[in-house]
Amino acid sequence: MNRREAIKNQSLVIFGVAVSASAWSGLYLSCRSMPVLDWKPGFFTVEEASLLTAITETILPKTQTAGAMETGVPRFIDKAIAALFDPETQQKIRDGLDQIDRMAKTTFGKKFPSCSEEERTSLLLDLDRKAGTYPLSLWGITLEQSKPVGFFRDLKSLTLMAYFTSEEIGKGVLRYDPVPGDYQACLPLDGMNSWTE
Amino acid sequence: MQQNNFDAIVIGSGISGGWAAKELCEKGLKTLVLEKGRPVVHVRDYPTANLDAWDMEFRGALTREEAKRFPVQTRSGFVGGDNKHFFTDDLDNPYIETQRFDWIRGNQTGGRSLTWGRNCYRWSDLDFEANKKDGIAIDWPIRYRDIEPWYTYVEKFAGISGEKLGLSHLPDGYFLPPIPLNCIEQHLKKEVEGKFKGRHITPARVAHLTDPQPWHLELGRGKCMNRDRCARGCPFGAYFSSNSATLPAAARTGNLTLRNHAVVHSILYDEQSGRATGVRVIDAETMISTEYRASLVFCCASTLATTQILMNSLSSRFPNGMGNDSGQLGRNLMDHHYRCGAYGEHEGYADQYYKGRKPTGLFIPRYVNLDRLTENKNFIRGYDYQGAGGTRNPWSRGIQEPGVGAEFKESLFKPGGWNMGLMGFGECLPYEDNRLSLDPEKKDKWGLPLLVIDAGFRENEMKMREQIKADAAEMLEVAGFKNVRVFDEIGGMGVGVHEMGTARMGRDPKTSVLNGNNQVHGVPNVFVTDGACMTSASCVNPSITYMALTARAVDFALQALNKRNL
Repeated sequence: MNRREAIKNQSLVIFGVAVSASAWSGLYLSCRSMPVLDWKPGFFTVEEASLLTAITETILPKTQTAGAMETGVPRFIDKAIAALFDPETQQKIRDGLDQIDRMAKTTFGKKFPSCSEEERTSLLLDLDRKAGTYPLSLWGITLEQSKPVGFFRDLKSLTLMAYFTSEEIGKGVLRYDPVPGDYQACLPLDGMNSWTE
Repeated sequence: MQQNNFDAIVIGSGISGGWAAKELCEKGLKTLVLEKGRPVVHVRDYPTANLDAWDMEFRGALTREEAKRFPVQTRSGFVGGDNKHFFTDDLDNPYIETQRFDWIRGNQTGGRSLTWGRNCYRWSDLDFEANKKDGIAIDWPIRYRDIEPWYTYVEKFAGISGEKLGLSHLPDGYFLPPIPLNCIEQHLKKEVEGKFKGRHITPARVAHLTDPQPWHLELGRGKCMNRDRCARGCPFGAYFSSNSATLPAAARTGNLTLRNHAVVHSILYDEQSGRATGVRVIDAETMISTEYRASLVFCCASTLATTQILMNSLSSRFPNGMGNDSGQLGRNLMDHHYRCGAYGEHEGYADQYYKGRKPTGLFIPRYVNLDRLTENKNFIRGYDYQGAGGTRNPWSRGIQEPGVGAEFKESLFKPGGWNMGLMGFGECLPYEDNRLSLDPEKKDKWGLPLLVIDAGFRENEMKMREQIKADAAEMLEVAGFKNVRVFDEIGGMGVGVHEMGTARMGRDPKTSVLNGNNQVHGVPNVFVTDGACMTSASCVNPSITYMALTARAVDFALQALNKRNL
């Protein structure tokens, strides 16, 4: 069996991602606070989707390269959660969003999207550090006993997957070489970005 | 009825069936190939071969709805949204697992030759003599010299890339240039070979055209482009499959008839002549039963399916299954055990990278129990390793590492550190009570009795795994890898997808099902040349050996036919 090829697909298999990012029209952060959706969520409520947008944009903000919003990450997650995840995980992530909002209120006295960038970042980093990690996986095979992870691990996994497998990033930022030809075994890195997988 | 008569029938179109078809057709026999699954035409039926992640709705992930059709296939980790069409629908093709058995299947033209791992290693007399030396099961009826020219013959046609090592227990073959080792693999090679006498690290020997020869180009096959999207089907025909190589070679003779949706019910037996007369087939879609006649039958349905057919081929002469005078039919089921080894990360070579997604990694040939000096008293037989990883960590490392924000995002555009996994593959002994049977009552939708699988790994395999882990960790540590973790998650038997045995070759009809030419004892015009024929398992991937045994058996069958001995 083609075991090796599954390496690069391992996260795909577990946390697959959606539609061509170029199809997204994105959404807007108004006054760096409550995002206004210009798409209709299928799984999340509009409020949840707005919160999700703020979270994913905090994980992967727009810099000189596109951020999560611009590459359609929240819309993808809305679609992927419905199609790929079991009801239990769906609920875990839904509860997780609620938890983030409550944490923001308790810690900073406001809703998450209204927090400053520093506040949002520190809150998510805290969750990230506490979320635990996935077991080792090679060739698509889970090779250690799975321990339950916090919802943030799942959410971050989906966010990164959606972003880095989007056309904008795959073609425009990472080095896109769909038909490499000869394999060059050793090559000076020279500061280059990773190849698109 | 004229149209149902052929010179030869081949059951199955996978690696073994494809070879049987090619050899029989090229020798001038009108040959019918029966394939249980749907047609898959090379290139035309590889719908995802050229898609990028963003071209797929869920970027290659299997949806929950889709996964419901594959409760067994997904145990393997190989099934994704991008290649699910090459795996068998488990709900339509049930079987019974007395012990967990992961039967990974690909019922379609080309079978699992579309999704195989493409590693090809010759067996040696270390393997062919093993049962005899250990006093286990029965002796192989052949030795390396019997199969050696056939290895060369099939390697030349299939196209195997690899490096010659000059090892007697892993013989060199007819090789195209190897797919080179990258910086971290070369580093590991230097360290391990320098510190452990008798251990070698070499590029995996794989069925990829790195330098296509005229006979490859003639069939429309081309050079490997290092896309590493092999399991979706290769639009360049760069890796060997029935679809890209043997079936087109068979078809161009004008002697091939390929019939899809052909569920083989049984092989027909004539009591008077003591010969098989043909095959009974049920059309998977119409349920219509048809008999095809031929004077020669090659059974290449894959290990378990082949034995299922033989068990269901009942007659007065063979009330317990065709060729089962010995009672060995269905027994001695083997698979390789793996999912065991070590993983680590290396901080060096930060300024080095590579270009291309090479479709394979490194290979460490067996080095234990070769002789008295390398003896390990805890177990018999041995193991090898395949490199799993050996790349720079891509963006997905960010899923596990704490981090959010602009700097984190930008850092993930750059390659991360190097990683290396060493995945052991171990030999499994033939145990008589690791066996298949037919359920007396339960039937599938075509009315065929369900296969019952009752098999598992034992003490020798488990003890071997301890050494596999210890050695893998030691090699990585010696080579300066950090955070070395051992892993051991055996999964079900079968998940190695190297099922072997259940209709073993042997010298004595009282203890074996096949003779040294893969001919069924008592039914001289029926041959079994897929994994069912194996008498022991070695620790190397078996497909190239099936290819060689198949070509050899066809050659023997044709000589016998010409002498009117079949």
